[in-house]
Amino acid sequence: MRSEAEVNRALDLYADTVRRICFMYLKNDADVDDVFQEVFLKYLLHPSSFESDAHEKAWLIRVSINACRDLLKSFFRRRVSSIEEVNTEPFYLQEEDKEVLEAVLRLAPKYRNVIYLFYYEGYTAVEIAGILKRSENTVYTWLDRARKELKKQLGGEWK
Amino acid sequence: MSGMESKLCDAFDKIHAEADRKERTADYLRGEMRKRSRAAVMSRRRLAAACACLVLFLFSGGVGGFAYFTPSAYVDMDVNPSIALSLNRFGLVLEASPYNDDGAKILENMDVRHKSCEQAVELLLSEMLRRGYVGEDGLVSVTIQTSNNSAEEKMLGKIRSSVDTLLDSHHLTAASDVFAVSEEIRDCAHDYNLSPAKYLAITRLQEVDPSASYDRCAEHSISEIKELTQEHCGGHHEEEAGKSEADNSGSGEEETVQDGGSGNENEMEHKKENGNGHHEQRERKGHHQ
Repeated sequence: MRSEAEVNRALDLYADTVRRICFMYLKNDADVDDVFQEVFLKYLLHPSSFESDAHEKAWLIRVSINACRDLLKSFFRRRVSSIEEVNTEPFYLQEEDKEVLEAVLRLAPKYRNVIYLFYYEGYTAVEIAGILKRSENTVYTWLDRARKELKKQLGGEWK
Repeated sequence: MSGMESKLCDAFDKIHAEADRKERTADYLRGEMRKRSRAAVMSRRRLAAACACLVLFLFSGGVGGFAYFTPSAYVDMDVNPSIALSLNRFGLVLEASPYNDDGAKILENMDVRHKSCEQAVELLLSEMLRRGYVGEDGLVSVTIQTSNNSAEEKMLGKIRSSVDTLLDSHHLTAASDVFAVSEEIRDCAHDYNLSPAKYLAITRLQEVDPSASYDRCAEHSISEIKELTQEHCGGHHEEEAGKSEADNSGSGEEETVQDGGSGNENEMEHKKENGNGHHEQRERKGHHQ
């Protein structure tokens, strides 16, 4: 088990990253809390140390994506979410931000991941393949399709 | 980076983890840390308690097992089927072994292990009665050897009453002879693979007929050996009436045998009525001096 100081450091460094991943998957505020708790609890209990900060961050991204997917898949969540649905979209977003982000949210989840990881986090396709545990070619295919989709929705150039 | 790409990055950049969410998460994690460290202490304590219980269990099991499986008394039956029973401190039979072929036949289809000693004696004697080993003028000899004096008295009483009751219920006039022997006597008897009762009977016969050997007499029943002793005794007494006392006055053993010999004359008649604990007690003490 890690120390409280280590956990606080991880929260400071990676809470925003986890929140962005949650934003791409979840609409329910309580679900976001659940994922935060689950991800950082896993971090607290992770038995081995990380090779580097980059390794640590990649691990947290993968755990966060999986936690969101698992939550959406869970039987209980599927039964109750429609009743408790609360919009968790950050209130401070401006219209133009919302437009771009909503275009991303309209993509299939697998495309959202690659867009976020490639453009925002700056990972290469090879690194994304490692994080998502997919082949490099698959990542390239997803990136290509996601770019085409965004171009259709927002126009502009996507490289 | 194109305009759209930087717009996307700017938009993502504006998403932050809310301060209260971070605080809630930190609170939750602190709670988990406390719970888990308490659980770790508890599990260490539980493990220690479980280990202690295991050690205690193994120890008590070991001691109990040792107590159960260690023989503390021996009961030997001789009708002519001759059988040795070893008993634990709880009076339960650990093992039954035959001294002769007749004994082996009786034990062939019987398992008296873990039965109480009286039950075992009753079962074995019933089987001997069923197979016709106990005649009208037969003799049922049972000896007990234990270092526990109070247990010895109790066992003598119980076995005596079991044997007598069983003989009575079969309307047999056969005599019973239940007495205690010392460890030395039993050891000597074992040297010849004889029950202590038969060993003592042959020893007595040898006193009056030195040609009698343990091996030769082994296949005879105790009642037959006693009859022979009586026959010889009659002759000897007439010849050596005053001589034996003068010659052997210093020997406790000889004196005992003389006593035993003379006791045998009426043995068949008075064994059941009087019980012969006293008689036989003297006998065993005389023999192991």
